[in-house]
Amino acid sequence: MYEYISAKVNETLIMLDSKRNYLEPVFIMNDTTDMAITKALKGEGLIEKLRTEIVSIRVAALRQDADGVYEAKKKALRALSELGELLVEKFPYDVPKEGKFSYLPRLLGRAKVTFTIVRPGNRKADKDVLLGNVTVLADGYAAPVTAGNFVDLAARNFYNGLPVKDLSKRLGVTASLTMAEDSLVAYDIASTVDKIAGEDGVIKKSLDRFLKKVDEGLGIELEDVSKADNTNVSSNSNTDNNTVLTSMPVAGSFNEGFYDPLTAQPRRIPLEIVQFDRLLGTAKLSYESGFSTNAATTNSGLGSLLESNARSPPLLTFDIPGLVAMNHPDLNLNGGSSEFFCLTKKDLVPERTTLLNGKYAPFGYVIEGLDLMMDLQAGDIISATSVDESGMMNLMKIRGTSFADAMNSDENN
Amino acid sequence: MRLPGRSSSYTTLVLLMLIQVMSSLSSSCIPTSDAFQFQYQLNQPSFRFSTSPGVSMQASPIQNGSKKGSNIKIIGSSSIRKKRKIVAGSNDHDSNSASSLSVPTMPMMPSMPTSRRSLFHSCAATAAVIAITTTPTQEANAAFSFFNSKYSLSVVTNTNSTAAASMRQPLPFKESSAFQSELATEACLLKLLPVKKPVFRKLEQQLLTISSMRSVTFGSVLMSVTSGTCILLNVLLHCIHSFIHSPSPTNHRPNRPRDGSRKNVRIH
Repeated sequence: MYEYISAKVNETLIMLDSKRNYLEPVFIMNDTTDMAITKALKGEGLIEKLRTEIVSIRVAALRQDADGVYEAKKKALRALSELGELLVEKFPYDVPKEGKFSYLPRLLGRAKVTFTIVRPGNRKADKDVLLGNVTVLADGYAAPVTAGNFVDLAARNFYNGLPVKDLSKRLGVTASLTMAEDSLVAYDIASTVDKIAGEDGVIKKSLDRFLKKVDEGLGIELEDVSKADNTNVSSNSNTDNNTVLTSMPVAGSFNEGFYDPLTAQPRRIPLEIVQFDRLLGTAKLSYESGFSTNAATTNSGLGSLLESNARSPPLLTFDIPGLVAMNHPDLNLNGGSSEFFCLTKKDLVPERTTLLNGKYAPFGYVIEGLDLMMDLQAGDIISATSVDESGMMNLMKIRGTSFADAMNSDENN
Repeated sequence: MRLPGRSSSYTTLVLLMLIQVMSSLSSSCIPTSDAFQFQYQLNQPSFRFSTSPGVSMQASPIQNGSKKGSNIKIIGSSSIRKKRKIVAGSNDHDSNSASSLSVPTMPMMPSMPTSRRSLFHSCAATAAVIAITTTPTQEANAAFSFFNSKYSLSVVTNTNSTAAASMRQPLPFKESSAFQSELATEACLLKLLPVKKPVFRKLEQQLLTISSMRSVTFGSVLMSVTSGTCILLNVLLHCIHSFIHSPSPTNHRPNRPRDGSRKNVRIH
């Protein structure tokens, strides 16, 4: 067996050495010279690291050390994934920029966020116990908006000092008709009629007047949709026998969430799932309906989520240990703000993970401190947060929070 | 037949106690060198072993349409003598056939009827699997998820039917997420990257293929645990059988009819 591994590793090494030039970072026009040089140096270092780890696999195989083979292989795969980030020519998804999406940051790559976790003493006089660090790799290729929001909040030190809370959640519930979907139906009707009428001036004018009256009649604005959901769901709660009531530790919980200085309202993140498109054979992003007026990239219609999941299954499923996902209210799929969770060992069973798949947006993985993350208890506190520099460079904002950013965004618009 | 649940702590306790008691006897009772035989195939990681001349177990993946999984088969033998003959007398038997997996015989229970012996061996093998799934070690925990999630246990009779022969053949193995769960994060990190360079994808494939080798290593650990458990349980069953069938010293009258008559008894 170990001879087989050694032979395989030798084959891999020969391929890596012979085709090394194919793994050089791609040249991107927008990059500055310094950036290009930095990327090239980083790429060289990662190739060397990859080679070192592959050699370590061979050494461990010669020693017949299964654990050594496993650890070296894990590091080699990580090095290869870091190297792969430098080989991406273009961000694969077309993230919406209109409407409420314009206020949301997005992560066009990956970023490492490290939390320092402490456990407060039993008494006030006792000192806090340092539990360790947890490093989350936020993946923009899995959920750019959700991961962008997470990295943005981490960079703002929003999570510092926030305790872990044990939240009771009902998994498997399906949202009934909410006001957000009402407004979406109204929008669908309007868009359909618009298509039929074409550019006829008379019909278009009458439709404009009709839409204006509809907006006035509903009395809500799109910004208030999520708030309306929160107040409306309690009466429409649909709890059947397939639901599971469980409690799980959730980090980053703070009142209504993060108040965006741009809008002076709680920032709401749409449910964002990366799915496998069976028709095209590629990955695609899917957003839950009722979040923005941009219907081109969102699911539309009632029960769209279930239909979408059946048609295009989510690529990331919750049976992956260490998967980090954004939390949202049970019946408001677009109500996520700052809370995130990682399933504990007791919840890593198929009966629960299947209820979470497609309902919550996974956006990252715990790459260090997984045991600590899985053993988090209510009351543990995030004492410090740090984001790596290269990750910060992947964070993009359409509308910045400073005055200069706002002026620039207006000029661009 | 599904394996019993993990909650059978009582069964675990009893089995562990019996194993501990019997472990002290195992060194002095029987030689264990040829009691078990394992067969691994690297490219086709189905593995099989036999606990005794009459019984062999095989764990191999199955592919039924889109479903993936594996079977554990306990292949019992109803003709020990015939199998002994094959093993002892010929060297040209087919290495893929079920009979070739039998081991040189170990005369553990010479006085038992063949069918009963097979039954005992089957029980031993089944109990070994149960013991693995209920023993709270790290390997056993992994084995539990290995068996309880997608794998089933089926008993195959020792006939020469086509179905039985086909089930004994090792099936081609395809990597599944169950074996990759520990490296699922790394696999996702690579899978989601929008890189189409063939060199990159080839490297990814090569490294992930190496990772499946640990599954085989895990299988060897599992089998080593199984072997130890089966040895001890065989000894246990042997002792039980000896205890049941051993003649009582008080009623031992060799020349006396059981009906108590004295007609044919010669008195010297």
